[in-house]
Amino acid sequence: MMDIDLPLTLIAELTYRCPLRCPYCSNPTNYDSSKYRQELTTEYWLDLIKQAANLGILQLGFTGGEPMLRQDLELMVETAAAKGIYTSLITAGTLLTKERAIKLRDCGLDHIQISIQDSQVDKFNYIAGIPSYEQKLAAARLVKQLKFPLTINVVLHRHNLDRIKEILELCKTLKADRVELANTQYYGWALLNRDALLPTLEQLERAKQAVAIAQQEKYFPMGVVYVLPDYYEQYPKPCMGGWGKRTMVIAPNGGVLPCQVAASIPELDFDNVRDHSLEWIWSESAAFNRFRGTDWMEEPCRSCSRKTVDFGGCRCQALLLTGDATATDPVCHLSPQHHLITKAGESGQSPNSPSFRYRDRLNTS
Amino acid sequence: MSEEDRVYSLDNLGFANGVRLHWNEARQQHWLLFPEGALFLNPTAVAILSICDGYCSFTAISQILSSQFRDVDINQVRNLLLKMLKRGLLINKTP
Repeated sequence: MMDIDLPLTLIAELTYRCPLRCPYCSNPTNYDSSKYRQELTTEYWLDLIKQAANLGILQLGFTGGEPMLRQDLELMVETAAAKGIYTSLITAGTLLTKERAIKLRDCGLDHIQISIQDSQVDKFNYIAGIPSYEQKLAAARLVKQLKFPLTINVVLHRHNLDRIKEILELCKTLKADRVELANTQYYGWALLNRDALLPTLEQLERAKQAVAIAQQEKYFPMGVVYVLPDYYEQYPKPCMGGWGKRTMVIAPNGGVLPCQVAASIPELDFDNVRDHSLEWIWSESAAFNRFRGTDWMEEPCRSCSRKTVDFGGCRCQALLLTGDATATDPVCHLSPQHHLITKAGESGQSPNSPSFRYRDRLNTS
Repeated sequence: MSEEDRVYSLDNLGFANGVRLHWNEARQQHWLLFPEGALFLNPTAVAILSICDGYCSFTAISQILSSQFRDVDINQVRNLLLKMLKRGLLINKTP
């Protein structure tokens, strides 16, 4: 029997509906299927938040889709705050009115994260798939005005990396407390658009320098996180800090997953909060135990000294690229299938960039 | 100004917006919570951070701790505060 840690973080995907259409969206590509349309009711969410508190959850992130589309968000924040859980709203910002922001603050919301797409308005709107530049910047200013800590999140790719310096300056002007620069991870939508999104090595090198300046000059009091695209790394990332080790994700339909992309692994059945308690799903369910710890590993991971450092990398990426979810993440240079990554990286060097495949517009009323 | 040249003052320290102490009932532990992060706190760290109300000088913090604990290691206190200050979790509040 292995020791199971208590989860630290709960990611609540309240809905997959969203007014934006970003070509690297982390939602499943079948986000609008009937499977996800049955969103959990308010009663379920409030009960889940109480269950999460009893499980020792410290951080709760409300995300989506666009979590502001749920009119019961304030109730959920209030319930979490009463239990002392740290709450973050992860939003595109386009629906953040002053009235709702004040209400969220009064309900005890701790922190707001807003995504921006670029520093230039036309490029910004091209990536978001709808005009949203003005609204997002206004939302960021509102967050600061109401004295919330502000995180700005920017997904990086070939179309905005050349302006990373300007993007960082924009974040500084908006007085972001912390900035997350995340190079696109290639699953779901981003994988469909991979050839249009993959950056060149020169772009990444220049970005590294711009980030170093922002760190050195302390643009942001709580720092800047720069997540390298793992296609260019020697070792894979320790996905989610280990499968079923820290984080649980609840999808809009009540399915519980160890990470936001895990639904892409067809061999796994994810138990639903309508049938089981969060505690049971965390400690007993087959999906959470499937890749927990190191016993499931095959070679070269099994005998590798880094197996408790990177946990074999990302299961979803292993499946997507090798067809086998138990394989070593091909990002690792020790993987027998590492050539798949090298080959994809080369297409990032091509000067021709195909056009985006966007999410369709969803009914977001 | 670059990070190496920066001079930090350990007076009048208080939590930055969005940073708070938390007693977790399920874990029976104290934690410091902040945007996208959580730090486990031992009893000494809790005592130190509890005094950071924005009004105490470093000397006052040291005196309060010395009255609560035997053998307070002032260097350890300084290092903890400096680490928190550099991460933007503590800030100098205007007295």
